[in-house]
Amino acid sequence: MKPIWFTVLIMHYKRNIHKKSTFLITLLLPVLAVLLGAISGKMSNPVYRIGILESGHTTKSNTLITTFNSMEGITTDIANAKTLQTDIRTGSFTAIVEFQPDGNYLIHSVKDKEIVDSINILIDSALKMDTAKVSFDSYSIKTSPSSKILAFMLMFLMVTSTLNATLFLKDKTSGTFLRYLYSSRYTISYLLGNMLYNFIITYLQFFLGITLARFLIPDLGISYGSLLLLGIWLSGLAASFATWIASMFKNDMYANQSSSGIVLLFSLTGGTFIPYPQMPDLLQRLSVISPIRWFLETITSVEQGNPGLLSNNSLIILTVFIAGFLFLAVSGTIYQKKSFI
Amino acid sequence: MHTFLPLFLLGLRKRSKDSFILFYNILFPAIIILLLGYLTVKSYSKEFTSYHYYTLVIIPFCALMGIITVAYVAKEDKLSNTSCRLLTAPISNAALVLAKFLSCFIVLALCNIITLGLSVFLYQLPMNNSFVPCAALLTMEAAVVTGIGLYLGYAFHKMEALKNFLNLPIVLWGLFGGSFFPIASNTLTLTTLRRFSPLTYINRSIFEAVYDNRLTLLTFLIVIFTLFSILLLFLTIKQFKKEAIL
Repeated sequence: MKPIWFTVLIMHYKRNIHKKSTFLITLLLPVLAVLLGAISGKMSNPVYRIGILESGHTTKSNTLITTFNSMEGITTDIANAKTLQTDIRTGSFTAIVEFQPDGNYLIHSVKDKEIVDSINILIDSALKMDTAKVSFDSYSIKTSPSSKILAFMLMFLMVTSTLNATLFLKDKTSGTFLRYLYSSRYTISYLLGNMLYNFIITYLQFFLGITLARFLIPDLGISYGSLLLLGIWLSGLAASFATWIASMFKNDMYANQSSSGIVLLFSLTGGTFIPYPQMPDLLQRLSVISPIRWFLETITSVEQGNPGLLSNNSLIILTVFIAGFLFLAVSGTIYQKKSFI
Repeated sequence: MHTFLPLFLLGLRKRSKDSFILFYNILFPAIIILLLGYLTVKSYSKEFTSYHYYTLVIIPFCALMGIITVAYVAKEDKLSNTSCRLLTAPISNAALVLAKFLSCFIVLALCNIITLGLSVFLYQLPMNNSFVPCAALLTMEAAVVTGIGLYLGYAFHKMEALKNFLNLPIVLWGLFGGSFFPIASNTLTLTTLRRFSPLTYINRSIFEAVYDNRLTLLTFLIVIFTLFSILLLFLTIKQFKKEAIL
């Protein structure tokens, strides 16, 4: 006789394969994640954008524009005085320079003192035309393209795998799941089948995404083989997370909304948007609970050429997370089963 | 009218007790503001803190996430096994849709204003004259969100799978609209992408209203939102078939 988890896996697959539109969207999503990761990698490069108010001293502002635009990592543009406060706050300009009639200039910025000071130095040396001295060190730590892409991919796949887990919710509302619970089988076999189905779909998505990334971005920093290996943990994490979320709720709206909420919190504390070393101390400690942090740490250690992938500490923690989510799903379901009686 | 009023009042009672709506529109934005604000506190100055920035950008973002909540509210009769009753009851489509729309709209708008008010008070945002215009914008955003959500839930039933994926474009819009960090658009791709995100305009209009005392963009958006939500409501009533709620 076939084991239950295998039957569940096959049946889930058969039930979903003929919903072509859903299936297509599911498979195309990682493409979006890859593109997003690539774009956001560009966005976080340190760039100063300096605005210049048009009024007065056109010669000085002209020198400033020509010098700055010839440099890397800094751009200038003409700013509008009417929306000055908005522009420096929404990030349209890092700072806006206003030339006064007496030849001095004024810097408008809401950034911290360090950045304003360095902009001050930049402008001074640019006005004196000694561009040789003009240099600025990037204030943010660069993250490699592959870790950005993988972080975004993990975020996306954790959300979408909850959508795959909705079959489980359907079984719950139709009462099929209750039958499983009252059969002599173990609860875990159903959940395992559900998770494996999810894992296969998620891994397929990951595979498509990463293959695309390989063609789009020439230097990923990690070999294709290790990326595919890392994908096992990535998909495992997404699948077990989704199974846990689905085991908690009966309604698929609650499941979807909670998964996006929790994933957003995990990403914020885990370092998808702001690299882990730049976080404040308290959040660094808090980020221990975010599996995304451990995943990113694994990637960093692989990038640094750590040969023993399996002896990696963060990978072990990640495995514990996967097992933990599955355990939570099982114990939650058993608790719900008892509440029926 | 005699069918509309009970439905509307029932909807209002249900919505205002729905812990999920309250959590996702009041507590969730508060948590995100606190978290992102704390994360980036170092890179802002004292007059304009990171909490100020994130208060102004996260509330419109979370309001937009309400689309999915509303899309599922449209299906609540199915879940509470009352859809057959609604199908057979002598209620006009307009009364049914309008009651749902108004009850969702009022609760969502109130949630937005409460969150804004709380954050302004908590983080000492210098919003002297601009509180009312900003609250008006968020109210009209709630109207559009309710309109889109109901349209998806009631009239768009062929593409039901689509609404599950809605979270992703909204997060993307947030990213390009500057909801997670300020974006300096210096490349062409980014400028183009930013143009497609409604949050770019919403955020900009709020900042202009608060810090530059310019209400042009904000007024323009309020007018657009009002027209759009009326259009959506009209379309939903027109295309609504009672069988859709079964």
